[in-house]
Amino acid sequence: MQDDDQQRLFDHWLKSHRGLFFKVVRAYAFTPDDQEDLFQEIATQVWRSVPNFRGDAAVATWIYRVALNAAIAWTRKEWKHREGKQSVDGVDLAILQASPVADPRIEWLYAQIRELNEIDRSLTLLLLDGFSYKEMASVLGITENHVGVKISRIKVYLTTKSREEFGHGV
Amino acid sequence: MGFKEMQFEDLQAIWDTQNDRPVFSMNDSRLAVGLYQQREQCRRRLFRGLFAPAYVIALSITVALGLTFLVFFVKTVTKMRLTDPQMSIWDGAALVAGAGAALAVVARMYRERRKHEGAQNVFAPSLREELERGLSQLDFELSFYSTSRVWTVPALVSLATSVLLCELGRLNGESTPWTMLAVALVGVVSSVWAGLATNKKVVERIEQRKRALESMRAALEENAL
Repeated sequence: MQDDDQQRLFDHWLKSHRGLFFKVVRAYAFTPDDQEDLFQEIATQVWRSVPNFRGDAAVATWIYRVALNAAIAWTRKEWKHREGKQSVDGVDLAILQASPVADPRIEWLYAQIRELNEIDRSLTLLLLDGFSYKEMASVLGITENHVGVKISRIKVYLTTKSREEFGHGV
Repeated sequence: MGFKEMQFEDLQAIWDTQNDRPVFSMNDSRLAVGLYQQREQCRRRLFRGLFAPAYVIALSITVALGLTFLVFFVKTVTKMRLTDPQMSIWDGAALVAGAGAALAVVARMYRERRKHEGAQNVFAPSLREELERGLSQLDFELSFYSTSRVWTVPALVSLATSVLLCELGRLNGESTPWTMLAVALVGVVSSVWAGLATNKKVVERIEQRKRALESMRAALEENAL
């Protein structure tokens, strides 16, 4: 794949799936600086992954797979990223701001997701974005049964937390 | 409106509101400032790494050629010693041509930089304008790595240096300073070879940055960021 094709495809993915990038960033990084840093890291990894995309899976599944792996790896070596930030193209692409009109319940939901361990965080994002058990198992490299068990626990955890926060209704 | 028991589907509905109204967006003004800072760095690096050394070298050679011309001329006119070399019309023409070559390098670079800087030194009023200026800066930078430029600048500087070395040899009584010319020729060949060897990598890096800016501009036009 030529550089131009890679860049074009990456641009297209970034435009059409930017919400996905942001969701993973929000779930794994807490401060604005870290979120910028992680966004750059995910963008870099997705850009690098473009030549390996064969179309066997949906683009969203592919991006989720790469983004979640990048986020988990980033979380484990976060200190490293603070030293030298370098975006995919030398330009700070990851200059983001939280929308002031965002639903506060979204903030709460992200806060709960961040309380989970890395793998459960990934599963929660995939679950909320409507991925099947099979796709989740494929993305995370675990069995569908294992996914099912974890999902049940996550659902219980989130609904319990929401009841504590919002009382008995929304 | 009555309360209902919280279900996972309710959380799902909250989550899905992001799809209509993303919780993040690109911050255009911060991006513009970032691009501006990067463009400024690029300009400073270009001046320190390319323009300032070229100005200093070319002007030094011109001054040296002028002094050589003066000393040669004085020696020719006064004829204080019988062994003093006499400046021929060809010596004079060579010294003038050498100074002309060195000044041509300076003049060309100064003119191009001045024209380019006229459009660059004001903070761009919009992200689109900042992107355009960033691209223009990269094009300007790229123009210094064209193959013709890699040949002409060292060739002109080397011509001036060769003339200087040759005439200094003549001034010191060497009638045919071939050694000096050979040294100058080696200088030309090696500088052009080194220039061509390093050019590819530099051009690749600049092209990569240019593609990034172009894709951001395309995204801006589609109003997708």
